[in-house]
Amino acid sequence: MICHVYLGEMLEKEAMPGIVETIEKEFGRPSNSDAIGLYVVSNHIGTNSSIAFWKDVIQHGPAFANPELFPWTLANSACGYIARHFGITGPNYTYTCPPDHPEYINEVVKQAATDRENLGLEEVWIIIIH
Amino acid sequence: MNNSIVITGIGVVSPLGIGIDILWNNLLQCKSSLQYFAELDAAGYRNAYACRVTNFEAPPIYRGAWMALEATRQAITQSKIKLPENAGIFLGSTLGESMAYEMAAEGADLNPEDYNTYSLANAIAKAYSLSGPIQALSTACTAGNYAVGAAMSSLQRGDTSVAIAGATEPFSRIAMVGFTRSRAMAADGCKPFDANRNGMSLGEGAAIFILERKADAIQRGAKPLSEVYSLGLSCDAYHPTSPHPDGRGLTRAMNTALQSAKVNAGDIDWVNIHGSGTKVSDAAEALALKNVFKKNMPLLSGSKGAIGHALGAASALELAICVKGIAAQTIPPTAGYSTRDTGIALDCTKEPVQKEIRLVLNNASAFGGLNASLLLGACTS
Repeated sequence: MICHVYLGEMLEKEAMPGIVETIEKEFGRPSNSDAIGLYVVSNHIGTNSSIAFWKDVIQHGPAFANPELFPWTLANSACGYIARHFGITGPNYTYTCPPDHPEYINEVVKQAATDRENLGLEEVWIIIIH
Repeated sequence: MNNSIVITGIGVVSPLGIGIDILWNNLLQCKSSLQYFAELDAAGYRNAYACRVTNFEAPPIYRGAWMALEATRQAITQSKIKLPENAGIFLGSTLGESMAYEMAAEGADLNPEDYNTYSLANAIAKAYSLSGPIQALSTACTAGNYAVGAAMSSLQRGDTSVAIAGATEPFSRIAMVGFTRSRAMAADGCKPFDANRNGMSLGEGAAIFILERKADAIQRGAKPLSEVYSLGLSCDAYHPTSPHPDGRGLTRAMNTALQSAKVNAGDIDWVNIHGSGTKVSDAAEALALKNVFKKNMPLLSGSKGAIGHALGAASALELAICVKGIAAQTIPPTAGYSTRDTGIALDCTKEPVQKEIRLVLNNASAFGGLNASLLLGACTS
């Protein structure tokens, strides 16, 4: 299952509630969250928070910067948020690549299929964040 | 499906040496690369101690790519392989070239996404004119294990005949400030599982491996260094930065790795622990180890007291140590570990231990609740 969601210029922490809402409309709530694999693909995730965090460091200095945004600088912060929202404890991948790159997306699809077969996953969720 | 996958080459850029043999010799002497950096102090950082690769020159904004390219060069040399055009690249990193994001915030005219993990993987592809599959894994401190696991899957599917896999992470000022302000850093160094541990030391580096199907490696006369059996993955789905305190996620990752390879926990000879040196992370990992191994605890060692925590590159660097340890049939000492924590109640190596090593688990955990446990072993005939 593939779902496209949009981050745009928003900070990740502000965008994620809307993103999980979109995912829930597309996929519903999982019936067995231990048997789901999550595969997030984005070229963009973490960028807005990284830049905002470093602007704060410039403004306040390294000793006084607000650490609240730091976890959101990591590209996998979105996949972690989605996992927490749905309680998904299976494999949790974050890939970085241009989301319109079909060969690359195919790599993700193949890995998800491999995991589904090898690990007995009931569902694999591929989420492309633009 | 051709299931047996082997490593035939290792390349390393680490704060304790460039090249696996230099790193290994320094590990056996229980050295630490932790240093004071005056420029961090002068810039107002609360913690000016880190584990950096001080003898590696690169343009600052391409440091991650250059470290990956140097490690790739070493791995290819050791493997003695002529790369086919369809060789795949499976690379992990947390931030990619962190400096690009800092420069963008400072107003530089650049797109930081041109410097992310994907760009680092592409740099390797371009350097060797490769057109095989590329996977760029941004799974934070577990990225090295993820990348090697992805390479294993691709080889087993027959998508590529040779895989260049590993991870790279240049020193990141974003991470230095972020972890310091999150009170996760220890100025006196990382002490994995130790009673007096109080945080991590930031590192940097790269480790790259050449992976092949075992039959192909043997056919071309290569000498496999170790066999990669399985990767167990899980997510705690608990907290953005803290592991679940009962260690359930890492327990699942280790159990998945063991079950996938049809290996019993009692057959594991050595676990390279994640051992970040923070109170909560080490406590959760200790519980996970007890959940899996119960009274048959294998020998435990950790590397972050020696080389720091290289974030996305950490589990790749530690995998290089595991592969070298298998070849040398030696488990290195755990720099920074000296006093048993009564809460953890597990010991790490204090001296090099020579013993028969057949099976090893390399553990990694990350922000976002990720857990990745890679099972590897001595190459069987």
